[in-house]
Amino acid sequence: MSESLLDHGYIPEEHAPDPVIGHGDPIAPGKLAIWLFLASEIMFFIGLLGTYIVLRSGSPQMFQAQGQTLNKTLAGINTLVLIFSSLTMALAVDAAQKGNRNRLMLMLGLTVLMAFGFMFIKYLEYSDKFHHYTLLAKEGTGANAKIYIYDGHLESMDVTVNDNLAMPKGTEFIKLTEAIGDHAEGTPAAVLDHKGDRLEVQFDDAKMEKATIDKSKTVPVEKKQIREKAYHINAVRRLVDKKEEINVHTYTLTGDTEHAEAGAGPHGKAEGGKEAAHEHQHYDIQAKDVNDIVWYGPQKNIFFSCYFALTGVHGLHVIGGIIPLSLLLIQAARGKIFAPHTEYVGLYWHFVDLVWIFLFPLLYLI
Amino acid sequence: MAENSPRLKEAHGHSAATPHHKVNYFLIFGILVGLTILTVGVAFLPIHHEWIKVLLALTIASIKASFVAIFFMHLKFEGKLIYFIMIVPLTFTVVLICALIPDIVMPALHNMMLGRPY
Repeated sequence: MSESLLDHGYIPEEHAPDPVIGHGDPIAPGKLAIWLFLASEIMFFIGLLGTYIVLRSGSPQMFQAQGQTLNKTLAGINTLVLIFSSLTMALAVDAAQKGNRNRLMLMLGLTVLMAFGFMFIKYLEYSDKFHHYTLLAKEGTGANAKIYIYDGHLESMDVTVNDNLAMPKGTEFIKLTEAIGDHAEGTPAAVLDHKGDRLEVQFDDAKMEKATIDKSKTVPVEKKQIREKAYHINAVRRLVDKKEEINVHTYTLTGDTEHAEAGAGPHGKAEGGKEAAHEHQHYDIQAKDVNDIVWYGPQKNIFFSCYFALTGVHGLHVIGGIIPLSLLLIQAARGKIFAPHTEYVGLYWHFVDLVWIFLFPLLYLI
Repeated sequence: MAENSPRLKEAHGHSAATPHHKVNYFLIFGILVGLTILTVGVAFLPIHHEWIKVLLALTIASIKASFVAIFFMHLKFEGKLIYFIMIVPLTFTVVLICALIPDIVMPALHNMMLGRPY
């Protein structure tokens, strides 16, 4: 059985000539296989990228604006990490072919380290988005209504918040509003709209169903302004009571005179004067004043769908690369050098890098 | 496994046949880092036309990808067969993108007719 076709998986060259090339350098079956696998991988990724292209062309402005919410710095560092891992991988293949075990171990070790580093940064990015919410609260009615926008992190993700807020919009959120029962007077008719670098808040006394948004009541708010002037609630800490009130933290800027106004927000308890010195100001918001909560998860919009699908699949590929890399490292530590296998894993690893080279500008930069 | 079994022979014979490619990997790495910095820099340029931005970003990405494929993946030293294997999916990629052109153009036309930015 040891010399059978099953054992080898191919017909050795001395028995059968290569049907495709016949002349010139023969190609190792393993190498042929990995290249064919990469060819199928190209088709796999272009399918996903095709989805991205079509969706983006349908809403170019939204994609551009939403892309701004991603962390360019982390992604840039990740790009460099992957490129560096590609370098160490190439050097590892070289070392394996030259039979330099110590160098192979060093280079494989560095590659695995970089792979873990990439995944760690990816984790930071993801957890940033998983704790990110846009929250809209309103006090008063009509044109006099004050709109409070929070665009940032929830401080703690305890069970209560998880149960009530971190839910796909349109499903559980409806349940929340129903529970609050705010379809009476002053029905939330506020629309949060990302337009380039500004957030536009539109509100109207009319009911949402009628969708009559009075343009004259449109209040354009610079995103920067929202961020810097404590205009908004900075973190929903927890739902004290599922139906009654939400405990809210807000950051106050030192020396900012406007914070007092903002601090006396919807049903404010703790006010500006006394706690102005504190970094965090605390006040409560009635749940009925919360008009909208949008989670920065995959279902936020089609951009985030694309983002999580593409980076998620790529991340899985990185994990898929860590496994054979680790195996090779272990074998090298045991004194065994698998030069061709190292080369094949290297080809795969470079491909993972190559995919990221396209994902980085497509998702983060343009 | 026997020392002279075909698998080992294949492993050591073919792949190790052309092992010592003279590539300055550090240079390639430097070029890739430089291009990464360039693509980030271009993203911060005040280019308002989206298509130019996309085109620039994709061009730089393609150059980077070429460097990875040619030097890190040793395409430079491969035979025709590997190129053939790669050309097929790349052709399919182009075909697929071309097939998407109606989906890309129609929303833009739609927006144009409605007077929205596209």
